[in-house]
Amino acid sequence: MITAARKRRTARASYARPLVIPLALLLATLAGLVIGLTGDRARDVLAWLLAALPLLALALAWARRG
Amino acid sequence: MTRRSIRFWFLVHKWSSLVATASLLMLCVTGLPLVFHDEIDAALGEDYEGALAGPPSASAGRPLDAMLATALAERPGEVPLFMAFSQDSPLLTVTTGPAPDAPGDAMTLLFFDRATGAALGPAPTGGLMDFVLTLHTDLFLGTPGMLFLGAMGFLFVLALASGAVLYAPFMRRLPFGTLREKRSARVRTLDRHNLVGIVALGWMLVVGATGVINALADPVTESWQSGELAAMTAQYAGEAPLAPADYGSLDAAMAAAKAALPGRSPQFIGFPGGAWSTGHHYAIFFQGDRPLTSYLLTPALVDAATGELTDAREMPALNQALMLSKPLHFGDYGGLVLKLIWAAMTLLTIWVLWTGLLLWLRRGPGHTERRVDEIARVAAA
Repeated sequence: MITAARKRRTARASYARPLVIPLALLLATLAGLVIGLTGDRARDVLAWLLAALPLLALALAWARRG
Repeated sequence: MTRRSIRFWFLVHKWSSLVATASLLMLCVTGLPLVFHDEIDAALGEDYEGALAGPPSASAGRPLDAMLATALAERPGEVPLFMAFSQDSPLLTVTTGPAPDAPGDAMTLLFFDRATGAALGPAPTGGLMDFVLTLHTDLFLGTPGMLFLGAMGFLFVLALASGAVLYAPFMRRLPFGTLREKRSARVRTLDRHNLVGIVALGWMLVVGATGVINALADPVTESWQSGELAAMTAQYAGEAPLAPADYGSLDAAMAAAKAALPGRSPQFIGFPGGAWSTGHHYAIFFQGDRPLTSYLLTPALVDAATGELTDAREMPALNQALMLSKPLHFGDYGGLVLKLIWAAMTLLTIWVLWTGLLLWLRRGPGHTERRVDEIARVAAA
């Protein structure tokens, strides 16, 4: 029973693992786009940084392609 | 994930993408220059706002009645439909037409300088950017075209969701960002498709979903007019529409509206009989006074004959969502850097569409079952 439950947990965890970075990038994008709407200057800069994170992740992956 | 559910999501991804790809490629290619609409207009010398000096037309300048009289003198026999204000310059625009309910293609847009009262002539039309914008909005087909592109946008969102669902089992044994460059052409293309798709997912979801909402602008506005607006002006129901000759003072109406919504800046006035008002009212739309609420418009309904306020009420949630969808779709609210991010994301979207199309074009016999087996094998391992 315990091993079956652990097995299920591990299976769920390994499905979730590939989604951790994508989910972080998705939330950064959404936060950036919304923060940019709520003000100028500092909020715009924060919006740029957050919304550019996915582009940075892509550039890193491209640099490491094998 | 069972093989059955992988197969289901694979088919959803395949068909929602295939049906929408041609439209989405058109939307990306036309959307790219539209991101830089302001910059392109300025470069082509069509930036009227920058050339005018004085206070913003939304807050000060010549009396509105005088501006309207100047506009109507330019278009004898026509009636006023809209007057719109700038928050940045003295530019004031007046839209006229042959009748209060004139369709869009019968309208004339005139430019004025509210600081000096000078007429600046009709707005330039038929430029390249107008062509690109119309293609992007409705394919030159009006409301049916808008709804068609809205449906394509819905399929895009479906393709994004199903693609993300398939990403999880596919990537189970691969670290994030894997690009297997030494493998076959198909694996190389697939890895790039998956990586670019997943990093641009948030942006594509936002721009896709807000595009769908923008495509519903006409029915959403109509439902506000027949619902909320009719309720606000119920005591006028059944009365014959006010004749343009009986329209009263705009300045008096603006004063009454500002008294009801103090501290807010007007964006435009919908004249009686149009899609944005009743047969009896000047509908004066005000922006909110904070950065976020500046995108949300609140109408004050003023009796066009007497200049007395009838009601001022926020618009329903659906209309508010539509108003917030515009900046989130256009990407024009965070300076040039945000526009460059918009452009980069648009190029990535084109890349995802293109690699997706390549994967389908290079498919072999029985490809669906083989692809589903491929993902199910990794998922079960």
